[in-house]
Amino acid sequence: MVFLVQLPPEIIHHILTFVGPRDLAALTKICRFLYSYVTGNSALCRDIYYQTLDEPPSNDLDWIQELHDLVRLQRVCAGQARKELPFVHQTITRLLRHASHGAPRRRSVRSVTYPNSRNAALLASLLESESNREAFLARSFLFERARGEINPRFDDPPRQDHQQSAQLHSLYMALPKHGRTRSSRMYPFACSKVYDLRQYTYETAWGPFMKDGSLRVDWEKVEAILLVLRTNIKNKGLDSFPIFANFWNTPFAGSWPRSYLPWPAEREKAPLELEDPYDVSGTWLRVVCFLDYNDFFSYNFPLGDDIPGNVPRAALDIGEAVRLILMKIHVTKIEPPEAGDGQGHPVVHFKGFSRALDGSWDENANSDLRGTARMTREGEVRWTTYSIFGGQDRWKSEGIQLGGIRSARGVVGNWFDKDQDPHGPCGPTAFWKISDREPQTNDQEVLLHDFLPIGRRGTRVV
Amino acid sequence: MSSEKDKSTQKVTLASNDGSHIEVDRVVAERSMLIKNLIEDLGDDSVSTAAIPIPNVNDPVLRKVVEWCEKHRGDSQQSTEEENDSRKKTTDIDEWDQKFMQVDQEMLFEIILAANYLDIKALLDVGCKTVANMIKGKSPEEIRKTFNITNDFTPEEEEQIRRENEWAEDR
Repeated sequence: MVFLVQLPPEIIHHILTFVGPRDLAALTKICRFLYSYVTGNSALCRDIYYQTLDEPPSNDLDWIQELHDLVRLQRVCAGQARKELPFVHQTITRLLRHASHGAPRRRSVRSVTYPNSRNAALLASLLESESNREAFLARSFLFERARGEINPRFDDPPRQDHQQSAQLHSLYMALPKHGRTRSSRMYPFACSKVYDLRQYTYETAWGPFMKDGSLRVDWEKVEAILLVLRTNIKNKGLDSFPIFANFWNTPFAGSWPRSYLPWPAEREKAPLELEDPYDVSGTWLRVVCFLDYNDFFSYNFPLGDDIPGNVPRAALDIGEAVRLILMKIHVTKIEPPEAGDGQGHPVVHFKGFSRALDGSWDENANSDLRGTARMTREGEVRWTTYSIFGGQDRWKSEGIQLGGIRSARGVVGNWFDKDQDPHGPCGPTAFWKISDREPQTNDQEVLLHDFLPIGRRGTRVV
Repeated sequence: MSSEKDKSTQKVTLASNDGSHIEVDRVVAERSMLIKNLIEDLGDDSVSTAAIPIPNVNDPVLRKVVEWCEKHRGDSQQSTEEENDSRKKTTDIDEWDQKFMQVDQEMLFEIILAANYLDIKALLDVGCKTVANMIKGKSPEEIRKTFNITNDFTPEEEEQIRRENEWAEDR
């Protein structure tokens, strides 16, 4: 008679690579042999990690700790332990950073610009329950204000738990379909933040940054921008198109570094493009929302305005206009990072043009374009764009790339007057890359070739 | 040398360690990398006249292994990329294999050992996943009972291990 514990060690190893991370604890409690076999067995933990999760970017992780944290995350999510937000934040952001590095680097469907990820799927399943979303994704100032839980005053500096929850929500972004925190209820409060000119200062660079001049991301601003854009996309029915739904209705949609998959997969790149760590060259889909300027002005400059600087303005629900824009850009210059930038990557300059997509003729949507991508000292990718009319800059935008460098999720931020006019206007914007076809060309078929094939539902790669 | 067509209809004979002879199609036997390499080393002529000895495997186990190889004779040998792609749900076992593995524990371990010795990766995986599924989600006491393992810890050791496992404590 052969017993389990008498099998050769390599076979026991092979068997145990197929158990789940949670079973390891039970195994150590069975007998002395299995206790000493499993305890501290880093190679076994590594193989279980690879069976359970995506191949990480480095094979030098603390595999035992990784599995412990994964099990703890699952336990915390089973019990909605609100006090564990810092751990949940730390573990989810780490699992996203480690997502999907071994996956095939080509699209299976054209409109899906990022690969499948076990990490993202696992995290999405943990946050599927409304109670977990309430416990971890709905804890920012914005949510507290919408629920009427607090006497609303902007915290200065912003509270860490607010920021952590807002960051997780921004990365997750598929909104709860029902319940206390439905998006339609959040929308007026998100608008109140996004269109409040007092949030736009020299120190924040008018972008989604903290107001201390550090250029650290203010995740509560990012969250508010995403909520406003998401509501408009939904109200316009745009989320019935895969190229929107795959980002705005899908949890953790490509919200990790290097998730973008090019299309066409093989393209001859110019020498400058090969040196561009951000992969800016290509066609991007952009959403811009704005208020009627009269509404915007009377909201920000009411008669007899005595509202203190740390108290938010009233909820705002008067409707916005939405523009869909196609941007086609290419690298023009690469320079070393400047003193205020993160030093890990260069500053990449780009040029191109943008075209209105939604048929509504809007001269502001048809312009030349220039801008830069660079790192912040905090390690986020910061994008600045300028829209140029008749050789003159008119609009500017500041944003950060959600999920990190080369993420398919793309860039989210603010647009505003290029002179940062203290009377505005300003608003939310996001853009994400959809294709890589001949970025240098400015042909009339840009719409047909770069956008429409992707717009069709379920278009298969040939 | 024989042509590819001959190879597909060619028979070889496997000899178990308890003296029985089992005749199988060569392509079936070559699911085992050990046998495939052996045939290449020995040459076609010698395997068509003499039985191939399988010294580590007895008749009932060898017959089970051959049954599995017959069923899976047409399976494509996956390329590395496909393997990566199919890493999803790796502990899933197809229905026929699940039924095939419904044997007593001793036979299960014997099949695993034979698959390991004969170098049949897919069968080794199915066997190991079957055992893993007997462990997954179970309490220590259930696992002990399933595999007939004696608890040889002292109460002090048990207490220490309980503390070490607080990270996973909930079952």
